[in-house]
Amino acid sequence: MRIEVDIHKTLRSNGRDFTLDVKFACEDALGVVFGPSGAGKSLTLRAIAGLERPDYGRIVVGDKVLFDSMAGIDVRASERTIGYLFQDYALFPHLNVEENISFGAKRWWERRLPAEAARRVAELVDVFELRGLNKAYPAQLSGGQRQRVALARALIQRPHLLLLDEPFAALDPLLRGRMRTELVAIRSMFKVPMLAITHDPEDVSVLADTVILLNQGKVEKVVDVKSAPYRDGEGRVSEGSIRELLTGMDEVGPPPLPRKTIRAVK
Amino acid sequence: MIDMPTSQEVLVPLILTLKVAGWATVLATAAGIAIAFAVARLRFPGRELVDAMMTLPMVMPPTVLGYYLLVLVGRRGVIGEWLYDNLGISLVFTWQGAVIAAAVVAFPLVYKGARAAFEGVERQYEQAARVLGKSEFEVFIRVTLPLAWRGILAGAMLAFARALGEFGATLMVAGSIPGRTQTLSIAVYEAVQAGKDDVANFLVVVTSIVCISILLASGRLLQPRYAS
Repeated sequence: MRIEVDIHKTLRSNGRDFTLDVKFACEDALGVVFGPSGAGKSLTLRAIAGLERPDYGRIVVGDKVLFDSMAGIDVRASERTIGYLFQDYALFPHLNVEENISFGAKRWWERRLPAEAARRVAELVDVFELRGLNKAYPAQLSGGQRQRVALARALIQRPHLLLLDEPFAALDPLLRGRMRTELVAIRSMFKVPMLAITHDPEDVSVLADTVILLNQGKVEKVVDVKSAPYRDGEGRVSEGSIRELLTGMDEVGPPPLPRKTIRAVK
Repeated sequence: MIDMPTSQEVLVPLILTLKVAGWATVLATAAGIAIAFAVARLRFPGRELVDAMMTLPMVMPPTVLGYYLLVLVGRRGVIGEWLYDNLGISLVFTWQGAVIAAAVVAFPLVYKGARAAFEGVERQYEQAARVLGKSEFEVFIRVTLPLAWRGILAGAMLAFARALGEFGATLMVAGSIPGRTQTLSIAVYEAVQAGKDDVANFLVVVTSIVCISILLASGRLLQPRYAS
């Protein structure tokens, strides 16, 4: 599936201007936007989900134009059918696991879930090994369980694309490796294209077929990492070359803040 | 021997007061939720001015509020004249008039509580619901309102307590007609004026118990929930 992003947005906060000027296309089902914090990764992801409106530009997912400022198209977030995994999962604290997962499948006037949706919830509870936790509330779950609930909740509406915002940042390092493997398994089971943002090189080697390198609001490179030198003959990821590709990127800090003192001197 | 106050002297004003305060709370809460949500979530010019206007009844003397209400809903008032000419309704010196007076005086308490509660709801939950395909209406009733509910309820209870004790504006608009518009606080005043100390004592104790219970309950509601 093709994702096409060409967006521009200027943000102004505390006298600091940040300009996002991002253009890339990704044919692969597994894309990773990589860059240091402050590079504009989240903003890009939020724009694709429809949570942020670009000043101008165009966003296409598959054959659906989601945003096109020239044509006056701006599909609402609620009508994009895009899954979004928030960095800290944003599980509804007042709903239990089952209610969280079924949230997207239930209409407000329905007191009970339609049978089809109920089956699907049960299926997702099984797949994500959440049996016995149906009635637990998010505050009672571990980090890994929360992530599973958030994934199940996003997948129930059969999204065309799943966006992942720093999917493993909220987990402790020991759990991170396991959840990465789990995510890859989920991805092949549900056949849903994914676009993740991260500043962790490990995520890139596990999740990426295409890497979009972002820095200071601009795309530096789009690299296909499906073949040599990034994969060996058996298709295994060569960690070394990925690291080489990302070298320097993860050390670049956010753009320097304009100093108030300098302005005062003028 | 001490004369026990008759039911006419205690029960009638007590029931009337609960009725007036109950309806006033319903009105104030409905309006409070709507306006607080608009102020908390929408960006429009004059937002802070609206906020100040909505808080005004809290700092203004109730008699001044009552006077304004008379100007508005009195027989010759802007709204009152229309109501009387078209619907034959007159609010002055009726228990419905007392409801309006108590609702206006109690409104800021629900409004303030609801605004703080809405502002305390993290935007991310609403965004998560939108991404899951939910309309703005559905986001409101399934996410925002349930998460803000306890704060709103605590505000509504304070408003109820305030409405129970309303005196000044109620007296201006509804007067003090025993059995029709004479609420507890007005009945206390009348009892003291008439030298009926036993009636006053009884009414004061009843009022105090109701108010203290409400404060305790609203305090419990405001304790944090969903903590991990």
